[in-house]
Amino acid sequence: MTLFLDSPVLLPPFVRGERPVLERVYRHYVRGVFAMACRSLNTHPSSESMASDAGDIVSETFLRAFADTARKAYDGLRPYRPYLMTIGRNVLRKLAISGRRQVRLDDNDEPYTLDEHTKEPYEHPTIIAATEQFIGTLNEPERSVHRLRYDQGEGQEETAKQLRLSRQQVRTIEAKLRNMLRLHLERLHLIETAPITESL
Amino acid sequence: MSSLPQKPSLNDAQLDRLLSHGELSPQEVDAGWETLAAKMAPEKATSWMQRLLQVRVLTPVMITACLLLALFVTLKLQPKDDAFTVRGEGGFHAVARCLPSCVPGAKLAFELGDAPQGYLLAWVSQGADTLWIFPDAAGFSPLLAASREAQLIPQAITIPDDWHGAIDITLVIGGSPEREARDAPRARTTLRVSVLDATP
Repeated sequence: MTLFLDSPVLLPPFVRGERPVLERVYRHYVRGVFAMACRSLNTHPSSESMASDAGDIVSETFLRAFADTARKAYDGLRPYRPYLMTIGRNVLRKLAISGRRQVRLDDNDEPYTLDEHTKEPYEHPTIIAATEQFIGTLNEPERSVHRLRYDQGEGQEETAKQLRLSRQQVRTIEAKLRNMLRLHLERLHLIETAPITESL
Repeated sequence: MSSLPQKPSLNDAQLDRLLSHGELSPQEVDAGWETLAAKMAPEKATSWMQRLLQVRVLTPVMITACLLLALFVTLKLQPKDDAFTVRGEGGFHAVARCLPSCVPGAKLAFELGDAPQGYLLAWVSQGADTLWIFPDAAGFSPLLAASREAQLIPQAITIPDDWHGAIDITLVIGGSPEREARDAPRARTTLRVSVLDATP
């Protein structure tokens, strides 16, 4: 989905720099920019967080993309993703020049060919398969919250609005999803049983 | 499918990653947006938030201010039925009623509200002299019952021929009908009566 081509109505408020639209653009493209940053840093996304170099690259990329000049320079006629990725690569180029990290600078959007060992232990195919199986058992509104929050990366407020829930209800369902998944994986003996903490 | 080498224990962030199919979790996206929004320049005056403030907050404030102004102007321009003005100092409310109008020779009565129980003393200071209204020449002062309701004092006086222009009348509720009671008033207020010339 190309955001501005599918929803051209978003372009004028985007050019004006209206925060809700900027947030929407951010949420739509952040995972792609993060993946590109990880790829260029030769790391796997599962071993990187937003509090890392990859996160810094994402932040810097969007800061530049949302600056006045960059917003006004985007015409809305071409897909936004390549435009954003070009900005991201410029950020990476600057990092490469600084020599702080080794950066791979190419336009390669290929999937990861990194060694399995670079993945985190929990990203084992058996656990991933069990997680997918668990997601398939969700009921409404758990499934809706999962789709909007975990698949589409929508904010809690937007999710609550679309599902006619309160933000607290969305938060509660997210916590429930985590606990249910943990129990599911524990029952399958795929993860260590979490220690029971007793509250005083 | 490779076998699971060692059972990992999962924290909430890792569970969120699994639920996000290995992508950035919504919680990470939320945190990334908050960081980015904090770094971005403040929104311009035309932002939706400010427009919302203008519509939802400023407009009602302006409407209220206009209504208050209109009310103030209306009250100021409202014709005084008996050409009196209340200039209260607190204590109780007082209104002067001129019959038929505030001209020398007409009747002047007092209407008091929210007054404590006691005797009404009233006088006009004219330079060093004091013209006593109550107690009158016979030593009479009206006795008031404590009342929040407006009460018209039936003992009207005749407006003297030498009253012209603004006349300040001091009203006191005292514990006795004697003039000395003004030194220990239970309540006190001042009225200004605008006395017109009798001849056109």
